[in-house]
Amino acid sequence: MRSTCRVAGAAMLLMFAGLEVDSLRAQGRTPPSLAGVYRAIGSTVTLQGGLRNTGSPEDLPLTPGAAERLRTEKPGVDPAAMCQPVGPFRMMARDAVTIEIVPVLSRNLIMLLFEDISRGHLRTLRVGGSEPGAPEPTWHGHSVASWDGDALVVSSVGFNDRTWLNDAGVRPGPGLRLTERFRPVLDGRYLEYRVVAEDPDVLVRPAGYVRYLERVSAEIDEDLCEQ
Amino acid sequence: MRLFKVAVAAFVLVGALGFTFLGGVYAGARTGLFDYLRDSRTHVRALLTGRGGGPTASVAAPSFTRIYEAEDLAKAQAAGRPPANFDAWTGYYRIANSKEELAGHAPINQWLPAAIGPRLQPWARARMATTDGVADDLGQICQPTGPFRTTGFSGSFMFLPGDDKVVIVYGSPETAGVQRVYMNRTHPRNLKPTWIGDSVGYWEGDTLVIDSIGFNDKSWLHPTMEPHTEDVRWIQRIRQVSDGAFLEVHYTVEDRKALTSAYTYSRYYKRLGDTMPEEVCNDDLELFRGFRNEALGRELARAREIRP
Repeated sequence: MRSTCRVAGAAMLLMFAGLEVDSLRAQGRTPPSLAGVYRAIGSTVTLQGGLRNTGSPEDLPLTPGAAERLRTEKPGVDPAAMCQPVGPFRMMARDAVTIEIVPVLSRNLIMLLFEDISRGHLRTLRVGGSEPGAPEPTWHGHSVASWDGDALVVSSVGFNDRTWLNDAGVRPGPGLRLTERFRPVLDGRYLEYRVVAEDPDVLVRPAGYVRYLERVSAEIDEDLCEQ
Repeated sequence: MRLFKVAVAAFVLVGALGFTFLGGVYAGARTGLFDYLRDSRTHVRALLTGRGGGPTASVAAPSFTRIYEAEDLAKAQAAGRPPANFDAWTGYYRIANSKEELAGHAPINQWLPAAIGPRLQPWARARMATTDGVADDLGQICQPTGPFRTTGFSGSFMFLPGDDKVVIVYGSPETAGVQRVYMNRTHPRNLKPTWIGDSVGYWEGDTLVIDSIGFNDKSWLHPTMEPHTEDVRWIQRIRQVSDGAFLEVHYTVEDRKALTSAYTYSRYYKRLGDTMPEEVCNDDLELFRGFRNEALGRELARAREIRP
């Protein structure tokens, strides 16, 4: 089952990666600056070239064990309702999610800030380097990024089990891996976001979704969760 | 011989007591503790006589700093330039409090209540005295707190320099928030009050000056529950010291409707690395719930006292 899962995952990642394998850096060109504020487009919007949001974290192919757990165990209180981080996989699919990308070139870091700071919090993406061996589990995992053409590819592991993968209350296993691609499209006016989750304890095959976010000139608003 | 020993011991004891007393007087005068205690007494009297009420109109206070007009800020922004090494300010910083951590630096007004207390207007003292340290302090239940309390006695932040915008992400950003400092504009008119306010910045030599207004009145100046109004103004003067090992931040807080004069404090933040560790305040759900239920219970009890 796991090998099938891996093969399917690799195929899905290749599909997302496209045919471009030469990085811009190898060509002596600098990667695009993704710096800016982006807001997700609505689910009914279709952009030029037929680009539109597809997939959802609500449609997860659960393993029998995960499906049984979801059916028999109470998921507990939704982290979103308690102003806690909801985890990257669920966060990026939220309606009108608004993010700010702050590259820190001198330190090879890219910071990802969310307007809904309580639920999205702060993500730190390390560009280059290798994945940690046995990272301490955290809400947002440990993320390593690299450039594949114009796309920033982010691989994250080391998540705790406090977040949910979707609104139904599916909890991730310790082996959750997220692979995300952030790519500017339509002359940089939009950001294409693709994510694939692999989790052998929870998902029978990799699952993901695609979202498009519009680059906005507006300043990011304060959105602190108050109860 | 025995009598001599007793006399010497008595002399040493009296001397030590006298020295301690004089030291205490000196320390009390230096820190404003006596002023604070005296003012607290006056404040209690005001409470008993029913005087106090809501925010008063602006009071004459020559010790407030000058009014910052939009033109002044725009001119300052146009004139200043960041230092050549501004990019090197990037990093994760945490407040230095102990003598060892401070490494010779001396923060101003380390015990902040002694600086704020004597400057509170009567209504603000009355509110402070009738405020529950948990029920009314959202920070106790990992809710938003605004930046004042964080920078006063604890705190950490990720400092992200930029040409047009400097971003300061405070530790546990779901409580203290993210301060975005715009270097290319002044404050907009008709600001909607927020927890973190609106921040604009300019350079004075190698010092980054941040001017912030537009705060809501839901946060407190310190965990000892000193209130402020929406007129509060926060000025941060940040510079790199000790060859980049620290950021020195000098703060000025003005509020003509809550304070009789401005107060200042400074803090030193030690650079600990390139990235900020994940800090989620509301990490423990049970603890959070317990705090909240306790606080809500007290609120309810108080409400019943007022309206039986």
